Amino acid sequence: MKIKSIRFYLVVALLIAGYFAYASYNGIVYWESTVEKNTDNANSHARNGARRFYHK
Amino acid sequence: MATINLKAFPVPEEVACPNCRKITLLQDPAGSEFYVCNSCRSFLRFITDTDALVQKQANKLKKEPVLPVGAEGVLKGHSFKVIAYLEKKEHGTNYGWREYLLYNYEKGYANLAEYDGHWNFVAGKEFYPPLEKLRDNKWTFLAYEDVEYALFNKYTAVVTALTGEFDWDPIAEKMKTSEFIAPPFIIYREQHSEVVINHYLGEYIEAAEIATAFKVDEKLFPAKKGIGANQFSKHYSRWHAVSRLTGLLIALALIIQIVNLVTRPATMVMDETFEITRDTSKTVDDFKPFATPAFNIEGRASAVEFEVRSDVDNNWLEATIVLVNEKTNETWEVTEGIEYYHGYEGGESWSEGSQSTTSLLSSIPGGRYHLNVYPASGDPLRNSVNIKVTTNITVWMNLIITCILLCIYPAYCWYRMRNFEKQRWLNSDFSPYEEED
Repeated sequence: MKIKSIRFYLVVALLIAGYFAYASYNGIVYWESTVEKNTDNANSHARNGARRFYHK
Repeated sequence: MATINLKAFPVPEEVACPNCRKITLLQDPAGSEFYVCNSCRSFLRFITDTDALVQKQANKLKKEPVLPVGAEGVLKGHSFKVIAYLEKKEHGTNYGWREYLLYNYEKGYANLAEYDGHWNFVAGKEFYPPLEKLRDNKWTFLAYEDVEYALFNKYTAVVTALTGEFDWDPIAEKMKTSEFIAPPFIIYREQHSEVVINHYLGEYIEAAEIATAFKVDEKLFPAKKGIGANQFSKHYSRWHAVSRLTGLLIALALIIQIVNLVTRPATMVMDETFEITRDTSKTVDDFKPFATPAFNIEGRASAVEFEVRSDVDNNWLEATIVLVNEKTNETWEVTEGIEYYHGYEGGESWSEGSQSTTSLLSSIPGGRYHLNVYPASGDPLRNSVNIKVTTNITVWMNLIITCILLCIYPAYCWYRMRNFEKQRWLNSDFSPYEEED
């Protein structure tokens, strides 16, 4: 295998594979649901129709 | 026959043309049976060691040879002397190429063939002994040294002009030739008669290497046009290396995924159905919020999945779920909706939506948690919602995204390689790409 001609791809590919291993170990999801972290729930708000909801 | 098994090149000898009496210098006087007079262009044959007879008149050269007859050089580890130059063409077409006959004092003849600026070093079984074992199978490929060579071209070669000396009559021969390629190599199968078939191996060689070997100015060499039949493809080389590396990395990613799946199996930490009641103090769709019992997420951080299920029927339910870490008060909030509608219309049953939905949260640290749930529904009589919480989710989408990312550059390399090969095979009547297009 001629590594020299693909050394840049090799670096990028190892980074991709390395991050995949890191994500697998730490439960990181590449495509997670829409999530709000540490939301301030003090204020109520609502939407109309089928998507209507409220916070306490 | 060319003089071989010597320790050095033979001493050149001058011979006088019987036609014009001008002198021509022979490089291998003992081995050459035919030669062309440099002055009157008579094609002569020696009938004794010293006497030659004019056989015919050789045509004038169309192109000046870039390697002069008599030039010496070391190529592929062998010492060569250029002893002849031939211009050839395919019988019945205008496709022409040039050959420089090289003489080596140990093994005999090889040649350098040039077509549209693309060069091949070509030699027979004297230089490549395994060629002796090649047999004519009349197939569209040849197997040589565990490499498959694909049929590229078939033609009858004829000599249109020549100069130098030979141990055979090149003007008389009209060789049926088949070319088989496995870049950067090419095998020529030359059929002399029904029973005599010779194979020659050619290797693509850059003009710069020839120029250096024979100490000739590279600028004199013809410029490359198009893609040579067996021209080395850097795109193929890159694709070959990239595809193997990518295969290895994808296999590695799959192993990591399987190890993760086995060592940290998915664990359901909650599967409960909760009663929900309308909050009459608010709008018509609002239900009372509630908190679930606490549960533990063990070990290091993991992906967590919520599944919300309710038997909505031609209606909807939406729930905002807040995951609360009881120690740090960190929260993660997701909102998911369920809609399920069905009916019978125009003689056909239909349905859309689902009675459940899932959310996936990334890297939730280990600890004690509970959920705050804020339901809403268009069905005022809805009275329950089921919530499942699963930790240590093996995220297959991560693997798919990783594989896609790893494959982007290999796909580009494959595209470039394929385009290069399609261009190469445009010059062939046996292109494997013709049917596709």
